Amino acid sequence: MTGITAVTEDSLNDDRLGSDATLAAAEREVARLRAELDETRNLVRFNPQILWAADRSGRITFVSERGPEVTGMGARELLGFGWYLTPHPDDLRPMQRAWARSLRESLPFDIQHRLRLRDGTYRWMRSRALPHRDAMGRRAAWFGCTEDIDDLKRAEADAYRALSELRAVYDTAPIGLCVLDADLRWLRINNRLAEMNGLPAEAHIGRTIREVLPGLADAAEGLLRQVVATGDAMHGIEVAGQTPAQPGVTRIWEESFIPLRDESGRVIAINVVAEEVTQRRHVVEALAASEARFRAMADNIPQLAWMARSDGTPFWFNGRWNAYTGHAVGTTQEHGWRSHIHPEHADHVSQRFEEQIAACKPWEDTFPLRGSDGEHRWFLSRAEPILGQRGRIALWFGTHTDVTERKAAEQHRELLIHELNHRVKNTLAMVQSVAAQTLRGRCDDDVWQDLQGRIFALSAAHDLLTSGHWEAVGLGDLARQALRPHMLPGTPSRLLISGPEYSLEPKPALALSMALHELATNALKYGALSTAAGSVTVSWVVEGDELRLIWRETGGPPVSPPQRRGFGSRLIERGLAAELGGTAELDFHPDGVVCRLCMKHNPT
Amino acid sequence: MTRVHAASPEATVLTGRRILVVEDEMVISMFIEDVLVGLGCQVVGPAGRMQRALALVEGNGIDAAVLDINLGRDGDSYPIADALISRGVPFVFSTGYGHQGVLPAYRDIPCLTKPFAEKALAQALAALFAAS
Repeated sequence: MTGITAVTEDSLNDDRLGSDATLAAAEREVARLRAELDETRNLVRFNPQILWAADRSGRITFVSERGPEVTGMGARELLGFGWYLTPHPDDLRPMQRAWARSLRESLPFDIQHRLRLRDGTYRWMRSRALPHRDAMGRRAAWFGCTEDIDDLKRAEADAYRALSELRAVYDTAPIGLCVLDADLRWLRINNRLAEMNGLPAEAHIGRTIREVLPGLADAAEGLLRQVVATGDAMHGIEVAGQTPAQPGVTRIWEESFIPLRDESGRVIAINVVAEEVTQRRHVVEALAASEARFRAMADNIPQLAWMARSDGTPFWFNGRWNAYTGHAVGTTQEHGWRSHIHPEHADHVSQRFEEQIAACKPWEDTFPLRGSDGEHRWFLSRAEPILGQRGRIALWFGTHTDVTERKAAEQHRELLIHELNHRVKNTLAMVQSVAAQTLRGRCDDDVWQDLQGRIFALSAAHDLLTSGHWEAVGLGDLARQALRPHMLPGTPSRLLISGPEYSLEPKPALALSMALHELATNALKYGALSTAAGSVTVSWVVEGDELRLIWRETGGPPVSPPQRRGFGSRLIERGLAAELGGTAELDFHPDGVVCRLCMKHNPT
Repeated sequence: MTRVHAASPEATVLTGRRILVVEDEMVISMFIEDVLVGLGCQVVGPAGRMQRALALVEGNGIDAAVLDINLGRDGDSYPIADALISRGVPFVFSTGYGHQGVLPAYRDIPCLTKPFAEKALAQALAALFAAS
C-alpha cells in the first residue's frame, strides 16, 4: 500500500487552484487501492490453507474464510481462544503448550495436530506461525497458516508400517543377512548373522569385517572388494573360518554378495546372504567317506556287484563287474546289466527280477552271464534291498557269484555216479558169471539158485541206492524192492508193508536189504510164503530215539528152529545188528518166524 | 549146474537160432554164451568191439542179438542197434544202467538189466521170435 499521495491541509485549502486534478488523481488512487485490496482479499480467501493472525497475547484476531468452511464453526467463534474447540482433544494440550512457548520465546510455531471438520471427522493438519515485529521492533502480531497434511500423514504411517514389517522380516530371518558399505563396514545386520558371529547387532555397525571377525576376514575380504570393484554379484561362495561365537571351531557358510547401487550406478553397498552349512558339509563328507569305504570293499569282494536305485536301475558297478564284462567304469548303465544275461534265460530272469523289485523282496536266481570274451559262465545272483529313511527302500545291492566250477563239478558228479553204477552192475554181472563157471557141475541147483538170488538182491539194493543218488533211501521203498522178486504173481495180499516215512543212509540200507532178502527166501522155501494161506507183515515205528522194525510170518507151516545157523541167520543176527548199530532178534516161533530189529534213530 | 532146461518152452523156440552176442566184458559174455548154448542156440561172436560187431551184423548170418549198450572205449552201441534195425534183426539190450539210461528213440527195444537171471534172458529172446 504505497504510492499514496498524502492529502495535506495545504492541498485541501487550495480550492480553486488545482482541486479538479487532485480529485481525479485521488479517485484514481482509491480505485487502484480498492483493486489491490480485492486482490489481497482473494488471496486470503481462496488460499487452500487456513490463514490466520494473532495478537501479542496469542488471541486469534483474524481467520480466513477457509477456517469456517473447514471446521464448520462461525468466523467469530474461532477468534480469540475459540480455536481451542477445533483440535482433537488429545492434541489440544500439546498445541496450547507449544503456542504458549512460541509466544513467550518468540520462536516459530510449528505443530502437527488433528482438526475437527465440519462433519465431525478429524484430519491431520500442520499449523505454523511466525512472529511479526512492528516498526519499532516490538512483537506486534503473529501470522500463521494451517495446512491439511492428512493424506501425507497416512502415507507416512503406511510407509512406516511397511518399513517396520520389512525390518522385522529382515531381523528375524532364519538366514544371516547384512549390508556392508563400500569400505566393508556394517551398515545393517540381522539377528541371525549377529548370533552366528557371536556379537550383538549394535557391536557390528560402523566397524569393518576385519575388526569384528578377524577369523573370517581373509576368506571374505578379497571377494567383497571384487564385488565392489566389478559390480558383479557372487553366489554360492563358500566362506570358512571362525567367529567369536565358537572360538577355535571352523565353520562353513554358503554366501551370496549382491552389489547395491545409487542412482548413478556406483556400487555403494553390498547385500550379504549367509547360510551356515557346517553340519551339512560334515554329513556330506561322512557320507562320502562311508561310500568310499563301501566301494573299496565292494571292489575287493570276489563277486561281481552293483548298486541300483529303488526302481532297480543300476548306477554303479564294481571293479570285478567291469573286468568280467569288459565295460569301462560308468558305461554299463546305458546297457543295463541285464543285457549280459544268456538269451535263452533273459526273459524269465528279467521277469522274476522285476517281480521281486516291485514287491520289495530279495531276489535270487542262477543263470549264465556273458563275459567280455563272448563266453558265458554260470552265476548265482542275488539282490538285497537296503532301507533308507522311514524304512523305505533306498538302494538295491546286487551280487553275482561265479558257480561255473561248482556247476561243472555237480554235472561231473552226476556223471561219475552214473558211471559208478554202471561199473558196479557190470561187476555184479561178472561175479554172477564167475560163480556160474565155478559151480558148473559141482553143486546142486538150489545152491546155485541161492547164490544167484543173493547176487540179485545185492543188485536190486544197489539200484535203489543209485536212484536216491547214494544219499538216502526210503524204508518203504526198500522193503518193497527187496520183497517184490519173492512175490508169486497174483498174490499181493500176502505181503503187508506198513510204517511211517523213514530215510535210511546207504550202508544200513544195503544191510537191511540183504537181510530182508534172506528172510524172504527163507519164507518162500520153508515159511509163510511157501503156502497160499501164509502171509508176511513188515512194519516199523519210530519210538523216541529208536527205529523198531518187525518181520512177522503167519499162516505158514509150523516152524522149528534150524539145527545149524545158516548164513541168513548170521547175516541178520550179527551182521545187520552191527551195521545198524542196534540189535536184531531172530525168533523161530512155532506160528511163524519173527524178526525184531532195533536201531538208533539217525535222522538223515 | 542146471541152466534153463533143454525141454523148456524157450528152448523149443530158440533151438538152432543164430544169436549174436555183443558184450565188452569177457566174463559176462561167457555167462551169456553158456545160457544160449544151454538153450540150443548157435552163438555168433561174441564181439567186444564196435567194428567186429558191425562186421558180424553185415555178415547177415544172425537171427537175433544180445546187445550190451555200453562198449567201454568204443562208446554206446547204438550204431550196431541201427544196423540190426535196418536189417530187421530183432534184439535185446543188456545194460547196467537200467531202462532210463536208454536213449528215448530206442526205448521200445526190450531191455535186460545186468545181472539178469538166465530165465529172464531166455524169455526175452524167445519173445522176439514169438512176436515175429
